[in-house]
Amino acid sequence: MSLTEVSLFNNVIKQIRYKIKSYTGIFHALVVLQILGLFLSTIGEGSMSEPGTFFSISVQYFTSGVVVGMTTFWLFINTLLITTKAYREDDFTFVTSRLSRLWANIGFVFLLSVIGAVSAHLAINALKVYLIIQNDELIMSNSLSSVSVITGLLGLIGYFILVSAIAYTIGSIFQRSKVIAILVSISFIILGNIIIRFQGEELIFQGLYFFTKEPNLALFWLKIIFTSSLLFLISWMMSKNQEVQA
Amino acid sequence: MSLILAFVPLIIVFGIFMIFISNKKSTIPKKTRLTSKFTTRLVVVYAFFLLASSITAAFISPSENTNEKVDITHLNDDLYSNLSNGIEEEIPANLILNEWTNEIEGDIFTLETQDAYDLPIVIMIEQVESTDKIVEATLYKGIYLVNEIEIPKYLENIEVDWQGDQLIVNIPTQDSVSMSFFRYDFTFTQFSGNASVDDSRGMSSSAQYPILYIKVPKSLTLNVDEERVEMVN
Repeated sequence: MSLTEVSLFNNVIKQIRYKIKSYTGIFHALVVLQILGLFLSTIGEGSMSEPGTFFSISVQYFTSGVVVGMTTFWLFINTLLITTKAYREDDFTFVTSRLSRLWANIGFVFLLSVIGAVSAHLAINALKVYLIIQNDELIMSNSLSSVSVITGLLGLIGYFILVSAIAYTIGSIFQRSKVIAILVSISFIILGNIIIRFQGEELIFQGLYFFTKEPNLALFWLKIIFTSSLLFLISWMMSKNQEVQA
Repeated sequence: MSLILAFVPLIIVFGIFMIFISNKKSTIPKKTRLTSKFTTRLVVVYAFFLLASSITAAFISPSENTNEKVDITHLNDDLYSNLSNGIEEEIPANLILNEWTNEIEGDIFTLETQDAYDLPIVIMIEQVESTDKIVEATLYKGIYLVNEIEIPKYLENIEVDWQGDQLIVNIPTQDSVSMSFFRYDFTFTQFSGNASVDDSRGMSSSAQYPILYIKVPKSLTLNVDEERVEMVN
């Protein structure tokens, strides 16, 4: 019998390392989805043409949104999967507690958020290179300065952390009780419809504007940390009384 | 932002599906892959591809300032307004595409244009106090803006020819112009001071047609289609 006391921190680190090594399929999926996103981006977000007798013009629009959307999709799904039984049982490879498992999952999704944001940012450069080669003159509607690159990246990481927190909470609720999950989902849909009917979509967008219209990076991160902490706390409450593995 | 939100229903449906599938498979012993050589190599190759693309993009990317934005309102007001009031002296010389002078032999000045309802040119005629029969024509460049970016050489191929006492204006069809715009979405520009989730995602275009300004002495009779010309006071 070992008398060595394992610290929570060391346990969490070991679990994160284990997850990185064993869940390689996640990174495989990231590559596939981002390449798919790049392909879809080359089609363009939209186009417009003004034909005329003497002068005609056609305009195509490209955006970074598809790659970011695909990465968001990847992160959301994989974070959901981490809460499922199959992945939960992997955690019993170690002598862990639910707290260390939660911290390990938080650390892992944070890592996925960083990897997703950095790879999405770099993938957009690949898109730009392709578009510049394909089009004689690609016009930048907006470009990023050195500072904007860093702040943009940090902002994207923040959004991904928020998405993963939402996914983790949804997954935890589902795992706790599918009946509760379905009831909560139906309630949200009904409530959402009522709000839209009586208040318009503005109220819902106000919730999004809380993050998307924040021009200060520090305040933005405070909002992200606060909201994500709240969501992970809900996840913790959901998983607190789940069964243990014999 | 709407593009990113468009993924939301897909994410939710797919996520719920994956949860159910994954939970069902929990009884099957799940293999733990400590190392996947194929995945590792794929990720490494992809990482190199991204780095190479980023370095290439750093050298060949056009900056936002490559194409200077133009405020057409200012241009419209100044050019059209000044010419409408006969204040030709206020117009900068760089807006002049071409100038012609011709002495009319007879007493009638004729202006001929193509018979098209959407002729992309503004023709202004100012009748000047003059005893001679010299007609002066000046062609001012037009401007076509897409998202405040100027289309180069917009309708600069307008042909203005003199045939005796006739001034013939012919506008050949210009080659179609293609433009491509690339825009970072709000997640990248939110903190750079020029971000807005509500940024108009549509195309805005505006045009100021080229203006042919003709000074005709009052001693000459005008033979013009009055629906096609504007008389300058």
